[in-house]
Amino acid sequence: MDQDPKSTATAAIEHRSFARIGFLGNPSDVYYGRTISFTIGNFWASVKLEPSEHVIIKPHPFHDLVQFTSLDHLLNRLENEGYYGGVRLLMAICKVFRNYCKDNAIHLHQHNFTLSYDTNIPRQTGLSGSSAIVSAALSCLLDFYNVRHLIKLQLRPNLVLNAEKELGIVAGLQDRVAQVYGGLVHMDFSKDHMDKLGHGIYTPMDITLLPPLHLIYAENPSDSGKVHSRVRQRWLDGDELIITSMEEVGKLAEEGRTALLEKDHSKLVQLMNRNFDLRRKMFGDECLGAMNIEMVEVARRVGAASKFTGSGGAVVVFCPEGPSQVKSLEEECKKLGFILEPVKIAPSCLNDSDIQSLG
Amino acid sequence: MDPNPKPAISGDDNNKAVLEHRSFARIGFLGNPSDVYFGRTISFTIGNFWASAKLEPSDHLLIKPHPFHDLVRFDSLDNLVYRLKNEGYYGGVRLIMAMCKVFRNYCKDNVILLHERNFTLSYDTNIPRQMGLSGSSAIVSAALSCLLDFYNVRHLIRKEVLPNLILNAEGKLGIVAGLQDRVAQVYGGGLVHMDFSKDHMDRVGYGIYTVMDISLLPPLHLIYAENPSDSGKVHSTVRRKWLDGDEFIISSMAEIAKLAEEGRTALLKKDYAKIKELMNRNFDLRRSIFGDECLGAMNIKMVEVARKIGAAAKFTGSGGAVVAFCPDGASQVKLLEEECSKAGFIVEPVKLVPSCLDNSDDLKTLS
Repeated sequence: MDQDPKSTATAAIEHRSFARIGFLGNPSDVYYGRTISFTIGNFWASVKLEPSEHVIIKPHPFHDLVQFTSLDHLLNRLENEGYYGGVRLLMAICKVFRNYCKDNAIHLHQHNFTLSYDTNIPRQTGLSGSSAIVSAALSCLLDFYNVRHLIKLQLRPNLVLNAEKELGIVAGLQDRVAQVYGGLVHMDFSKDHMDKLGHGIYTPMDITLLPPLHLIYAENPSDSGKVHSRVRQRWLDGDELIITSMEEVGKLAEEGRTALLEKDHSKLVQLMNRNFDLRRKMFGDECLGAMNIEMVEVARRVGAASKFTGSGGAVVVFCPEGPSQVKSLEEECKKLGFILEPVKIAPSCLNDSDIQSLG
Repeated sequence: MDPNPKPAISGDDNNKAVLEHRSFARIGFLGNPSDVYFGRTISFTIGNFWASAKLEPSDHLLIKPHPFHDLVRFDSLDNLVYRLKNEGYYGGVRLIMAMCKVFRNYCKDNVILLHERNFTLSYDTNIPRQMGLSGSSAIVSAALSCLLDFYNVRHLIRKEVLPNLILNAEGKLGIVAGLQDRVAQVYGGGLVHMDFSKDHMDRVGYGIYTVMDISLLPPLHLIYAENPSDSGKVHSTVRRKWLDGDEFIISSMAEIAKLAEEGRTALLKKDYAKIKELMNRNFDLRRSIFGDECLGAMNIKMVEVARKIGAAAKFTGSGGAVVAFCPDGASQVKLLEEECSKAGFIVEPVKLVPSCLDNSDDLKTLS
């Protein structure tokens, strides 16, 4: 559905990118493993691109922290959210996108634009809020410059990741693949593919295969495991425990694919729990954070399966026994001050241009 | 109710006053970077470039982004990419927020009560970026000065501690540096000799700072490039080597520190031939410690262009600008201008700033 070049000169473009849940296999994506992730409709970031005389990256009145009710409020927000809002994310993707086009002889027109964004993805909750903003912005740029069909879909998560890398954000591809594709995606990051293609093999799956899931998070994610993890260094150094554990985590995604296709819910419970237990073994409690661990355990206590959605801050839960179990979980969460919501799955967002780019 | 009523001065209604402070760019004259290695330095601030911060009372607390420096507006996509490459992603807002945080926490930890009124902090600067002229710390330093006056606590915090607060604020943002620049900026306008010997640093956390007569300095020049592209991107391993006990690094750094001592004597004696020797030795030692790849070809060229015509030259900071001394006077300066013009460098005379140690409150805290 190529846009009429004349119309791009005047129309405003808007795109949404949803929060994501790493369902199984994370964080093996950083270690040539495999993951299954999906986007959720509960939270999203949106970016708007409007043609304008200059290139303007519009700070968000709230998220680009500049206004506070008091000095202590400023400190509080800095403590919880850090110094940076979305502006640097937007600038980074502009830079990465521009350089990619230059390096690949993709010609861009000379019109300028204003980029602005909004988001309701809670910060520091492991729901991939940063990459959602970047991903939505990339989508706007692809349309504004009319190059969606020229940039391979499988490469776009790399562009998103590279933009974040510019800012020192260290992460894997898994979140970004989920957000670029939308819906439920199986990802294979085996070294072979990564070395040969520079990206993994991504297979969209039917979102209806997922059982009903829930999300647990806290309003004030203070205890988010500030201890720096040495897992990557240990993996690079050849630590056997880390290497085999990470491989096992990757295998969980494989078994998970089968379990989803076969609608084997008890297997899913087992795999989700094993995923977190392996993470816990590798990273250790100090790194994971007491509050995060508590969120996992509150679900386990009522017999549900639970694991982190990402690297901590929020937990995805599966209650195999249904609504009664969900009710128990609700009560337990309430006692501890955690928020519990049903997960809404956001479907795939690929259009014809995207499919065309697959080549 | 202001917990810190202004001590002596009456009349002025603090509640409505707009406060404005300037902090100047600095030149590390001799001894840098030994300040990070328990050494000594002599630095001073220059009137050529400065940052200013303005604090106005307001309902909410606002940190006002600068329309240009807090990069949000560009001529084109290519201009955006270009500016990011040269200036990085960050403007002054994060610097000011970090200073507010460090200041607030310091007051809390030291039981210094602050009133509840809010303010809007904005800033401006003409200090060229990435030039080793200490642009970031100038903004932070000016902002701190405004906060000290707004909350009326200048007399409650030792002046020697202020550079540490500034450094801590920048530390929050991952800016790794030494105290030398910040001392120069806090003692603004003066020529400051700084002794960072381990003994003193371990005991009180800051160095011994002695203000010298700025008129002791000979006429100096500043060399810099309009587009400081080649600024030595290679990461330096010097600190790691120093911590690991590398003998060459340790002795070289100690020698650099000695240059500041000899420099103090040379200034007092107006021994300009000695000053030329010391300035050149300072850079040569830096070069042998860090290596050309780390320093950057363009930076080295700026030094060499000055040396070619017989001037003394060294970095002002860690690269980006060079301070030159032409002992032969006006004719030599002319030669320097010609050489710089050929090479595409900008050269300007260094303008000095009178010391701003005129606030009676400052003198009180020194005791």
